[in-house]
Amino acid sequence: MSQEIFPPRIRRWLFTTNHKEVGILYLVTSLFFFIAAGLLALTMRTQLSVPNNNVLNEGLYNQFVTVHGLLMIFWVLSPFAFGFANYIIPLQIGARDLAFPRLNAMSYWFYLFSGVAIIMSFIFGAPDLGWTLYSPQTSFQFTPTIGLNVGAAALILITVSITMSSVNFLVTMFKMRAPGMKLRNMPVFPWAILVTIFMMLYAFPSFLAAVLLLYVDRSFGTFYFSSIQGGALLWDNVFWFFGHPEVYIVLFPAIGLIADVIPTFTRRPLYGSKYVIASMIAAAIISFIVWGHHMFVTGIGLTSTKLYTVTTIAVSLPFDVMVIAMIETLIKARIKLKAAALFALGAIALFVIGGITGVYLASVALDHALRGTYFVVAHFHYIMVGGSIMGLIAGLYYWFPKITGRMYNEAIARIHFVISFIGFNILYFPMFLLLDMPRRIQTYAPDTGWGSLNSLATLGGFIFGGAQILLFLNLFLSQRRGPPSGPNPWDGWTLEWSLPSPVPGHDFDTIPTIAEDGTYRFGNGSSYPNGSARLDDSKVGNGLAYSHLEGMSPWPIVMAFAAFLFFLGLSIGQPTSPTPVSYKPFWPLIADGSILGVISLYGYSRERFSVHEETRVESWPFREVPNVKLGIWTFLGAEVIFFGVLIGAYFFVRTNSATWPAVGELFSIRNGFAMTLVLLTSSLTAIMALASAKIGSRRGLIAGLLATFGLGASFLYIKATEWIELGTHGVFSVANGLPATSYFITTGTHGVHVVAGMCMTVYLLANTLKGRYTKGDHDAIEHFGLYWHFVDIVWVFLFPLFYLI
Amino acid sequence: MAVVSNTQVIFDNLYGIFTDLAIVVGVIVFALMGYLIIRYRATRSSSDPEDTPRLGRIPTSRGHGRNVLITVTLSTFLLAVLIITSFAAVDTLFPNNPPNATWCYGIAAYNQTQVAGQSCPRLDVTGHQFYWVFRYPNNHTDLNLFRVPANSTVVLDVTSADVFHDFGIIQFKIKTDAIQGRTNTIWFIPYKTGNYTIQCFELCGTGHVGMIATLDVMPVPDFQLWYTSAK
Amino acid sequence: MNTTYLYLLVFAILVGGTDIEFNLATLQATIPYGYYVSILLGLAGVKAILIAMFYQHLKYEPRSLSSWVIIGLVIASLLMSLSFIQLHGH
Repeated sequence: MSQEIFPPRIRRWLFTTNHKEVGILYLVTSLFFFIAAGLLALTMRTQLSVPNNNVLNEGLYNQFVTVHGLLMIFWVLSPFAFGFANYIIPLQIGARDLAFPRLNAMSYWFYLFSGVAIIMSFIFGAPDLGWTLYSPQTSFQFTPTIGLNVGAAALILITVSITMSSVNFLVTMFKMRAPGMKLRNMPVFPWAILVTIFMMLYAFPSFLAAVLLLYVDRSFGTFYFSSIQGGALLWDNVFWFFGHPEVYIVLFPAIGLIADVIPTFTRRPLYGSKYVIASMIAAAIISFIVWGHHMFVTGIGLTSTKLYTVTTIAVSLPFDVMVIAMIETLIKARIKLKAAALFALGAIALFVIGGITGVYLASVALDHALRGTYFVVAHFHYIMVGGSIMGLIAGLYYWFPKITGRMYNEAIARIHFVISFIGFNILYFPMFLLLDMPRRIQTYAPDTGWGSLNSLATLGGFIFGGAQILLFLNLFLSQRRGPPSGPNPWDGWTLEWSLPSPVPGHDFDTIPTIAEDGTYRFGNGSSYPNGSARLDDSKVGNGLAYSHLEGMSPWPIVMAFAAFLFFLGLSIGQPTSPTPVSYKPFWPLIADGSILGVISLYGYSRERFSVHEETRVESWPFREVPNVKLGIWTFLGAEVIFFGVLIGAYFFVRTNSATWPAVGELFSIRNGFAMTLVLLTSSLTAIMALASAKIGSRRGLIAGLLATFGLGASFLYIKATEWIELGTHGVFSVANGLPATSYFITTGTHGVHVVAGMCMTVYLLANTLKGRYTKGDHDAIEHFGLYWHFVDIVWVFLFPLFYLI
Repeated sequence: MAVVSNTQVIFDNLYGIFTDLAIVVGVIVFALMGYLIIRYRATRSSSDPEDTPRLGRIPTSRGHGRNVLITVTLSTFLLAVLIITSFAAVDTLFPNNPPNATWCYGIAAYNQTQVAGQSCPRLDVTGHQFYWVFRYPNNHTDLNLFRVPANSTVVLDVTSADVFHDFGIIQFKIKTDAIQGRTNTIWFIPYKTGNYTIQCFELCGTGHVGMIATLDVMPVPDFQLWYTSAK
Repeated sequence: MNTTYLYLLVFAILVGGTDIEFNLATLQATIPYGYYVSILLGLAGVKAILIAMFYQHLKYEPRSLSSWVIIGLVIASLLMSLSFIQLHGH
């Protein structure tokens, strides 16, 4: 693909793989979505300002309420934080870039296109049932508009983006730290991001599985969420299992950022930083067992609700430690109240209110009154806007000089803080007092007495929203004409401040080293400030020999666009009948997307794009493990949750159904047995292929790969026959609806994995024929095998689960 | 605040305990923060502390495990109080077996039940897009109007005919989800006659905003008269 | 050719295990259902561990490498068991 069709300035942004540029793209895009979602919110506040108002009709109000929530949570909070993470983390840990720069660019483009999709959904009638997408209202019967399909597609795309990011960051942070940058030497911000991606890695696959089940239900008429045995409670479980860790996913980066901003502006090291980090890890672990508090009134029984009350109240303890540590840092400090510090301290104060009111909602007894009211809205906005957004704005002021090389106007920034802080409280505090008012209602009667508090909140909304104009104006004008900031305007201690502002394309001339006594050392062996991150200023910008730093790749954006087209085509079809669901996707777009996808995969894999792996790195506890292999195992960790949720959903509907077909009645045991043997044999041939590659036998390698491909094809052939046979015998009868649903979705997803594996064998075969892999360069064969055997292991469980019990 | 039902009393008491503690904790935290920020504000004459983190080296780690332990212990104590009081409240509000319903006592058809001290039948509530249906054991149904006698125990089985709703009686501070295929049971004792608001608390589609019903708590004789004549 | 021998041995055990599963299905009526399911899932677990240890050669890798998958398994089983308690714990 010719990259020269675009002028260099545009090409740089479209094809960049540099972590700093990708970081800036993330920041700018997330701020754009922040404005969009904020305008939706202001429209809703206007509608609610007085009783019986009707400037925004109910249908549109419900769409706004839903898209506002989805946008803020998925397209603003996390990407905002990951803009910083992209730019700053490699600098703070002394890495050259992220482990997989092209994958990083791809994450961004998937994010952007998914955002385009969610906004496009307004064209088709956007999702209108709350960001929690409760079942069974999402089923085709109750929501026949295809806007929900488009919204679900957007969610699938952003989940893919986030999973790629998680793998990328985990490998980077475990494998690419500068020598001496032990985990315990990392600042708190990288730690917070590490804990965040840990949660992302395990929470988002659950969400992906949930949305996928929904998508298939809506497109192919399966019954997971439209049936009573699955339905509301199945969605609640898989959604909130993801949903609660997600709350901390959007919060932790801000906490980590605040924990780095505060020491800089108070001139004292963070009090008890190791306890803060330990608390984050504890909260992250507990976050996976508290989701039931979102289901207190679904009738899950006293045992469960009490259990979740205890775990949820317990999770406030680690946050206690974090807040207290930040406050203790102030003792005997020298506090400089710059804008970043004001926002950081303000965020802590607001977070404290959000946290305390969270304890109310952790109590099952109070939740029976507070569930679904404005008390909840107030609580989580104090966390997400007060804690996260205010914290991230602190980061914006803190790192703005580093990213742009210029200073913003401090006085305007302080005014921005004061107005924001006051506006925020006028906006959200009245909502605590509206603890009788249902959330997500378009209007209310005058005799409810909710009018005056709502008017007040709306006033606060406009103050808070208006204050952000100061932020954008200040930053926009300053990045053009602000005074130069110099490398370290705040006198901060973390590594990014040792570099010039803005940071040059290749970051460090030489990777710093952290000596035993904690001092940084640079290439010439001297310590800072005598030594410096720059060897020679004359080399600025003339591209040292780090291949990928100048590296641009057109394929990430093309591939993301292909996926976007594919899912759009799948989503904007014609519903032809509501019961049974019959649905015709828009094939032309699917075809375009598929063709483009194949082209970009081909281009991506053929492109010469070498990533320089430093040899002297801190990599505990993954010494000796190459980056790609660690990446694959990390990805497989996420896959475990994905299939775990699919199998869990099957268990759920099965144990919740009164009857289930007997063994051998619906699915032929003989078929399952045959498929198991075929797949096990393919694992043997795959490992033999690797063994051949290792001893340099090209013939053995080709035979092994061919056999693996052939066995995969045989597996799919038997599967296809079974599918056709089941399909023609009308398994989607009412009696067999759920057995068929769980079977088709689970084995179908597994089948897609088999197809992906077969595509890999084709790629490997082509390269083998060109003479690769048999000269000690057999890594790719091994990596393929790791994936293929995993797919085999999944089937080892699916065989008894679907055919034998 | 007027006392309108047993559930509202339980809620108000518990909410009071939470809020008292919240105010104490909040005031301490904010006072401390405010004091420290003012006390240790940078001035022209002040100089950086000795352990100021500087570019060029990892800052020395500080902080006592002891302080963390004290914080956690104190918080655990506070939180334990909240857990215990919450459990006491929820054991009353949502026991696995609700108490005997007594709303039917005094109505001729249920004399046997009353004499034996047994529970009256439960009343059925079904959420529909976008209205509530109330069904009595004599098969009388009402739309968006729910009559119960004052000062007697009412036990409700709540479910949904279509999507996910949530049945909430606003002034009684009680609610439960209405889910198709599941029955959630709640109970309450209304103390005061009058009209109260029942509203759906889960976004259930376009029309959700109007999914409002009236709870009419009647004097006992009036209710008995109405029930006997209702068909 | 020690490794080839090892891979074939593992394969033989995998096929043997599958054969036991297949034959167990015909005896299903004679075994209490709980035992039947446990034996089957136990066999599947053994097969999975064998594949992971030898074909994915985790046996020869640093132990930390398997941590992501093991954490995933723990979290997935938490989801299943806690939702099971919700459905059937009262």
